[in-house]
Amino acid sequence: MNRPNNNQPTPAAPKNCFFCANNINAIDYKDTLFLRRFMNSHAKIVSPRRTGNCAKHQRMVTNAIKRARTMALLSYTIK
Amino acid sequence: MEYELLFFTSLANEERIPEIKREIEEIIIGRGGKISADFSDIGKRKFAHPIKKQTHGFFSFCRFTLEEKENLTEINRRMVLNDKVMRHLIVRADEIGKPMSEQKVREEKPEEKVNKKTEARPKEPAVAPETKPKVEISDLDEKLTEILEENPE
Repeated sequence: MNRPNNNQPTPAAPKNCFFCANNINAIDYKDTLFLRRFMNSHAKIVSPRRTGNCAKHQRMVTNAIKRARTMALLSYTIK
Repeated sequence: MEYELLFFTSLANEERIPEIKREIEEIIIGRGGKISADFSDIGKRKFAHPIKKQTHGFFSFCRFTLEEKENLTEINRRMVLNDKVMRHLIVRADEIGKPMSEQKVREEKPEEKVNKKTEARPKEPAVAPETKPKVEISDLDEKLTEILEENPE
């Protein structure tokens, strides 16, 4: 976990949560194209530090992605 | 409480899908549930990862209401015992909300016919689909946010 040179600043996050800004309080786990926005190119879930999601909505996003993964709508990894 | 059930079967059972749906309906109704809308099919779809060495499946989902949530465990158990259903998932409907995928349908773009020579080449269509989706996704996101801002529901 210890990185030798940790001088680089963390990536700046957008200040506003996307879901709070658009007043969304339910995420459909079947909407894979939408959920891909919160995953990186390796299909990992992107941290809220990068996406700017608030804790409540980040929980909903991760829940939806994990549901989609068990139903084989989203992949666990992309090499 | 309203719930949504999503299931998929292997393509070997594709012809027996109406039968499978009827069995699921019987399971739900037998435990005091009411099916509010008919099954809506997602259709044949490629799995994001292989399941039991299969790559494709047939997806379908429906919404139902159930008053006593103790019966959900029984419904879950019966669904697992049904070997025609590969996997299923029951989720509270208020967690899902309205499907956001309605906007995804308008993906079609008018294709321009430029040169007959480039169309004749076999390499051209192989390269084009890789570059196009990236543009479409970013476009889609912008459209989505625009639409969502217009009608907040």
